[in-house]
Amino acid sequence: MKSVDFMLNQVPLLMKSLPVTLEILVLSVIIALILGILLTYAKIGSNKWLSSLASLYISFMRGTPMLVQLLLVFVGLPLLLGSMGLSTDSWNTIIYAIIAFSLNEAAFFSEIFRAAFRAIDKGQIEAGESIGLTSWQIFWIVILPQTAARALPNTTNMIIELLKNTSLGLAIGVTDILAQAKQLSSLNYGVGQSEIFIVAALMYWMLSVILTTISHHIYIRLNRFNSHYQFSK
Amino acid sequence: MSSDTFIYMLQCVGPIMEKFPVTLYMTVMSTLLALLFGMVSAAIIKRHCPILAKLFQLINSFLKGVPVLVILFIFYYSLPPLLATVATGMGMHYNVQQTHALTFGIIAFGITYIPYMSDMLITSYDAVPKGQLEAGYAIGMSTMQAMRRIIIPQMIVISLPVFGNHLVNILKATALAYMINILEMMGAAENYAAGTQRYMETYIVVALIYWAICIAFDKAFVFIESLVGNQRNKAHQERTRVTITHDIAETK
Repeated sequence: MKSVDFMLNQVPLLMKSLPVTLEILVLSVIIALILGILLTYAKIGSNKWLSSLASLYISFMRGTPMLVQLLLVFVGLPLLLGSMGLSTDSWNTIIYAIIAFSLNEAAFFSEIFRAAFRAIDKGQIEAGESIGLTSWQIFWIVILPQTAARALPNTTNMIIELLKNTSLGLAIGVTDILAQAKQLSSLNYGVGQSEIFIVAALMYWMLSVILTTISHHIYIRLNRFNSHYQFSK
Repeated sequence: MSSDTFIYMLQCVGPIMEKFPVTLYMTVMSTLLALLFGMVSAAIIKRHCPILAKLFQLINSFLKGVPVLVILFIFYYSLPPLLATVATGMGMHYNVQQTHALTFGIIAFGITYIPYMSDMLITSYDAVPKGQLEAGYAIGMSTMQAMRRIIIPQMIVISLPVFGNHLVNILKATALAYMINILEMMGAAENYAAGTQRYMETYIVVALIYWAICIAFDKAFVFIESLVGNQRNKAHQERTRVTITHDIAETK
């Protein structure tokens, strides 16, 4: 089959841009996890101003298209830093993508963490206090393991959403998988355009299946003490 | 913020809101399409049809793992030539140039959200206790009758919050349509900004507009939920279902 051969030939060409997609994904997830925890802390904390500020931030991130946020960061950040006398001329477009995606993802992560945190029995925290743990120890030993175990499936879904969102990098000129596919198809003057995009689609699918599988194994490991949790995908 | 900027931002609102009907039309049509095929997929998976169930699970997994933009490009670039070939084969003439991008956009967005709708329907079906269907059988209802009168009304109540969430997600996704030259709100904003070269202000305005619309949708759904909840209370039906709805809404 000619078309299958053609598609197989495109795989190594598209693979070249796989590291870019993965780099954006991994760095954004790491930053978003940290920001998400801080945001959750702000939202459930006792400070009213911080809490409503966090709510506003989350509402904005959930209520506007990712593309608009990406373009806002891409256009706005140089203006903002420029007014402070910093130059962003040497920045790679990937940096804007990572900033935009982690800002967006943090809002969604914090919603997941908050829901998982609320599911924890308050008695657990009191039990920690009664045996003399500090609040940091309670967070680290009591709250975090349980929250993580509960929040993992939804977090994985959000990470897959983020993987899909990385394809928007095309709009600001990041050469990820989709942008590479677009470039290849224009190099071929539109010949086999749909085949190239189908190969790109299969690559994204493969990545999300790998992510789901890894997450499933971690989920089983994290919930090994939770006998009442059903191990389903 | 200087007054000049403020005036410019107010000027932006008109041309962008002019294209709101296009965004809304795409959102509604895509949602209906996704819901329709989501029902088919959910029914097939729930009934464990031998080969079809596996096939639909595979398709759903694929559609969940692929970015909307990729699906959009596949449809936009490969459907017109395919249609042209089919039309020529059938002895008709099909002009690739007059392709209606809006139709492909709606199909692409609709297809992307099939797995989410399918999941939503399966979850809400599972949330209705099995005894209800059996009770329907016990008083002599057929499966169709029991579904229509007992199961589906409860499924609607349970899935409303999730459905509202998906609707807002589809609305946000339609902002990508300008990548295949559909002139909706985002496209209008891009065009306007290209004319004035004031991208930052225009993007802020379009973000605020999307934000306002999404909040309006959210509020509308909370209102509908309370309406449905009230009616159920009036009818002195079990209140547990309503609590479950709120639990889903909160954990979501």
